[in-house]
Amino acid sequence: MKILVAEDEQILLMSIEAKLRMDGFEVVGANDGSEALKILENYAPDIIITDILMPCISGLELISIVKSNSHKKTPVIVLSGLDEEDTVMEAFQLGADDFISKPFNPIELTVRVRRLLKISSTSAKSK
Amino acid sequence: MRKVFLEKQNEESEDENPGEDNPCIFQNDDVIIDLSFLYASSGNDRNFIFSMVQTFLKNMPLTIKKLEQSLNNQDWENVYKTAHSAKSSFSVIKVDEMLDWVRQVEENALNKMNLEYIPDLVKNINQKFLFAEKILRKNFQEKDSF
Repeated sequence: MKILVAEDEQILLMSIEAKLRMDGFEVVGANDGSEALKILENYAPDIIITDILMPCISGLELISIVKSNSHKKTPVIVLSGLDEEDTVMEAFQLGADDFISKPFNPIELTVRVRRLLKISSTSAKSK
Repeated sequence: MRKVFLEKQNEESEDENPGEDNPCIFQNDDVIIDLSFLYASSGNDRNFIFSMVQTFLKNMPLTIKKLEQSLNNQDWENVYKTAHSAKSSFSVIKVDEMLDWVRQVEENALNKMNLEYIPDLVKNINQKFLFAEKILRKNFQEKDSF
């Protein structure tokens, strides 16, 4: 299973990549939204994890673009702060599928990824 | 009986030193640093943990400098963005009260409210980071030194 992670803070991005790779996923990291969009031109992830506040193209813009193009069925998990409720709501309105609050437990991240992949797979089979 | 149990429990918690037996915790009288996120996310990969701590030690002084400069210029947009970025780092390398302080700076700068508290918060962040930097540099001099 392939995962694209967009996060501009290097330490957090690399930690998420390490955790997901350790759990058996293929992971590609992007330092901001525009890099994520560039990667998506030639890469079809099974799930996208994105931060909200990033330079160039924000997480919200990324979700908006992703959900209106060929990747629209790809589930998106938003990484947010505890105090960003309005932004999380906006992300859901744009089509995000789940969110996880920073700081989070690395195990929780994998659990949420697996859960979303399962839902996505079940939904695809039933169609 | 219950009173005796509680007294015993209190005695134990007073003596408790979580850093002694927990390899993820580094502490002294000034600061407590929790690296459990790094240990958990890498499966205790020492090379990875070492590399992330070095990145933190390299990047965080620049982030704090940027925070101070933005504050001096009363550039609240950049104070907000820089605090937000620091929040992500401190959610991985947890330095006791640091996450609460950067969150407070972020929120105040974003809403342009209680701006008068930001200088003291930034001062606290800087001071606490210096304590954290000292203990991390001491313990992470080489890959096999922790």
